[in-house]
Amino acid sequence: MSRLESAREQIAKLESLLARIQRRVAEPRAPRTMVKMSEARLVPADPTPPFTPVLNHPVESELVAHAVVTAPPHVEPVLEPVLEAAAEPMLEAAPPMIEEPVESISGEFAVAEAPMELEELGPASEYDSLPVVEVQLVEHAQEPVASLTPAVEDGRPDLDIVGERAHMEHVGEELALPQEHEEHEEHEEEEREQPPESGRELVASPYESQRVAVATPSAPEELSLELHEHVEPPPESSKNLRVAPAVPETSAVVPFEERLEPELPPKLQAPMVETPDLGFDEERTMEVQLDRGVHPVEAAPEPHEVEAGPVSEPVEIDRSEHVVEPAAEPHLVDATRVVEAEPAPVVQAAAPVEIPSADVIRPQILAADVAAYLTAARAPRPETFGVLLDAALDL
Amino acid sequence: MTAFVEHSPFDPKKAVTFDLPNGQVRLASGADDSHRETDNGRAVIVPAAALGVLAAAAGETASRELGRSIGRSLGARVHARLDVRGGSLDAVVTELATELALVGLGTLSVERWGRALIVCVSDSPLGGATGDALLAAALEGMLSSASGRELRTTPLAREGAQLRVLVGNVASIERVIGWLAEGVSWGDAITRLHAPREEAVS
Repeated sequence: MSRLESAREQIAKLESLLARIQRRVAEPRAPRTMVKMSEARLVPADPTPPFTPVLNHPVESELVAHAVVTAPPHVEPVLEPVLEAAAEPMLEAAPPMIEEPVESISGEFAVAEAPMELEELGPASEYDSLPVVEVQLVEHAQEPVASLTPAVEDGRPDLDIVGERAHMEHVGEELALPQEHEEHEEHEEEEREQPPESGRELVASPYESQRVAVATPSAPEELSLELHEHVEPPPESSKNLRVAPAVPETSAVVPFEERLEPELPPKLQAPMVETPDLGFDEERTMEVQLDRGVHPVEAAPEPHEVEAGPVSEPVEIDRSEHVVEPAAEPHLVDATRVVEAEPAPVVQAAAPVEIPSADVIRPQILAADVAAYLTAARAPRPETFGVLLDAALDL
Repeated sequence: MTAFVEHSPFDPKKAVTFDLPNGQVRLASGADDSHRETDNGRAVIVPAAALGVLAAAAGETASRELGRSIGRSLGARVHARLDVRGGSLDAVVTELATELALVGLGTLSVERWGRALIVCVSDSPLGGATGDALLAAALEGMLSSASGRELRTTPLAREGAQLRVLVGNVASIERVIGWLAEGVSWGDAITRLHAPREEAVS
């Protein structure tokens, strides 16, 4: 008799509590605790830009596929707004359009003697002994994965579930829910023994629908790890912008020596030509040009002038054009021959080393030098007394 | 670039030696005594006024001979210490002035008017036309002996204690003497001297 009465009293309390929960849930404002939870759990503490919930998309898809919702019928009207509140944290990451597709929510409502706020809860020992009602909701993955897209401009599909509600089905349609309290307790024990599903669990107290003590995800660290694993590589365009190639393309790198040789103008190679005894057409002419002025010069009048040592100044020889007429005298033609017939390999070896640049050869005449020269020229020469005496005697 | 020949600097310590026991006064002939004259450099200290009286009494020609003789001895000592022809103007003038001052004939300097060479003597004890002629003859002998060139000198003008003496060849000196006799100033005479020969004659 007493047991029955006590059971009725508890039922009455539960009913009153449920009524209160209904009233609280009916309020449109978002629960404060849920926001805190989202900040603490779902959103990285220090998101590195550009952090977006897009990265959660593959994981969430998997979670939806394995979602299982079980809920007792008597708490059914209460859990729906709770689920909405639970979906709010996802809006923190991609506000305001994204709603978290709740896959699995299991709530434990601790029945207290009197309704109290979450902050007013005392030590755990005070309410651990209270009866617990477990509510589980299962959401079927009815929405295609493609529709769950992030609202991020990275080329991936947007997570657009605005206005949609996660379809919740009661356990009674798919899973057999415990109809009695005893069976419910047994099932609760089984649930405790078994590890939670991969989905998020919401452990909410029945007396505080909005200020629900939401349990953290069963394995938040693992979840975040999975997120990193499923990160898709950025598009090529962004990759190019963010990541520079660590190593330059070595194929384009040419050794210094290899670059120098092709750049050596042939005109610098010609002056190093010695004067071996070579023969060629008398009609062939050459053009000798100095880097300073590029003046066409006739062939050396005498062969020995051509044979004189390496040229100190860069001399440009244009072999293609026949600028200088062949010399009338045979020896002049021979001089031209000597220059033209010089073997190229010898020239290439000595040209970059011995031929100085035009800037080095060209004397730098400064204004101060000119002034000093004029002053010295105008100044009386240091004539000897004998010279002066001779000049005076010549008058 | 002309290289100047180094020369032995004049040493005034032994420039004049007074041998009082023997009653002799000797002049140093140079760095070494190789050019010592036959009289062994003996000198006589004669009052300047007496020398002037002598020059005035002997006439210009005798005075000039006396002056050349005095100048040769001075030039010989300069030549002994210095290559006059190869030496710089400053060095040669310094040596000449030293020798002239040593015998008490005044202070020597050189001026160049164009190509003309003018030797200036200041504070000479000799005066008058005969004294100037004697002094110019001394400079002639000194320069000729020092340089080895045959040359002539003639007094151009006296301005107080300063006497300008023109140095030239025989013909030039003769022309200048003629212009000066005609009343041409010594400046114009030097200008004419630089003019071509035909214009100068006309």
